[in-house]
Amino acid sequence: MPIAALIIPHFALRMSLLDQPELDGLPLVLTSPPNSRTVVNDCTPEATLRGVRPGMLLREVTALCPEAIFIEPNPVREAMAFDEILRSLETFSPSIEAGPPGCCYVDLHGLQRHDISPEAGAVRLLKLIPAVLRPRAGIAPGKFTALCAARKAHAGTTLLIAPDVVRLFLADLPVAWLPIDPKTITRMERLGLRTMGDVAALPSTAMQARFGKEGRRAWEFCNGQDDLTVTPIQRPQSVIEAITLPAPSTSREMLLLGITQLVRRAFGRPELRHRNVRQAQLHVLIEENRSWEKSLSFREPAGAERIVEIIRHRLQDLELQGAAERIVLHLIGLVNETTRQQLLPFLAPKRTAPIRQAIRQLEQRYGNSPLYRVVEIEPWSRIPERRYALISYDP
Amino acid sequence: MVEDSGTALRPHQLRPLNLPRAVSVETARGRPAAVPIPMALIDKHGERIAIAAIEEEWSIDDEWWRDRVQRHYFRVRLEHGPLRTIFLDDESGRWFEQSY
Repeated sequence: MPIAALIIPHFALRMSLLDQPELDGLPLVLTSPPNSRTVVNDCTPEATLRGVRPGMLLREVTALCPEAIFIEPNPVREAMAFDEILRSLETFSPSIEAGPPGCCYVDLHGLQRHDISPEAGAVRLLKLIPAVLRPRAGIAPGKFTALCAARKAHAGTTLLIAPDVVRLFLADLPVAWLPIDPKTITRMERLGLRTMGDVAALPSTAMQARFGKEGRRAWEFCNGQDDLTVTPIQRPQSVIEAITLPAPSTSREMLLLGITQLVRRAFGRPELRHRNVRQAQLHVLIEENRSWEKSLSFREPAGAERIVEIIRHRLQDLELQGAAERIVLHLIGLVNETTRQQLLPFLAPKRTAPIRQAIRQLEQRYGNSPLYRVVEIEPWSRIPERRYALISYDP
Repeated sequence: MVEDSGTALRPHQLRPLNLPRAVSVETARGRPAAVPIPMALIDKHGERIAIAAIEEEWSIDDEWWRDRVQRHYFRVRLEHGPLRTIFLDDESGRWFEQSY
């Protein structure tokens, strides 16, 4: 069985259960981000049972389900938690592809020697994810079928689809699950093609003639012809440091102190010895399950002092929405330490004596001075070597 | 570039920049087909890289009143991606490399 798909439905809501497991089983409602229309973004099956639907206004939810618990989205925390999950899955197989948050694929090729059966492998995979997140897995010969199987599986279980039953399994599934343009799906449904079995029963040429390339692709998926491969995550070399503040603080100075500490700690690590970085990402977890993040790309690879200086400058007008609890610094793009030729201060015309002396010494040693300056000769010339020349430097 | 210090130009001390470097170019029907690997890659010295495409070509004919300069330049894309500029000197019939 080559590919496993793992999904965590209602991922953003499940994340909140990591901190508050007592909320498990209650009707949870994910609200829209602050400063936007207050509607339901997602809800758990317990809330769906009480009539809550995504897109509904929050005041409607309060009337319909007074016991509903509202959770604010926290994309930084979600991304960090998903990354942690992916890293733990990478201990199982190096070939892990990240899908949207809460979904990933694992290439099971070559893992037969570790597990007696694919199901045993999937059980091991699921154990790497906290049970409170209610993960589920699907195993199939292709990525698309594996994802469909995971969506059909129950929480904490695996659904295995053998190669000879792929078409049969897909036949009853809705066309809305196809990974194609939603407009094409709407057109299919209008023409009465509601299940994948309906599509598979048509000739491929008819699907292509009616829906173009997308139609052909849909027909192939519905017939179990899935050649999508698992693309392993490419992780650029990076260093991550995190600090929990002794007490939540809104002070910018406190935040900068924490960041300075993190930068120094990161540059004290062997991976960063004699190296600079091109990019820094700052994640700040704020009280009440909120977060703030900033990405800084440096014009030139920067060392510890320069990074602190840049961050200080860029955060001088920072106003956090609440008290910061934890700071995470992610340094990306590690390169060898570079030096830059600075302008020599003694090149100023008023202080020519030291340079004259240096030139004299060089001439005595090498016969002529190796110091030159670039001069324009005929910058307009069509002959490249006529445009610029080097001339002996004589201050 | 350093600011002009006001020193008078002394032509005997001038060293032209970007002089052409002679290269042996493999040709097919009079067109460049392969160029040698740059000198910097000592371990691969002597090997050649095929030219994937000629991106641009142009000619110059100048200074006819003294030593005539007649060149046909080619900006070529090599098989592994980079661009190089080479020219055929019409006077000597030899190939050179020079950034333009």
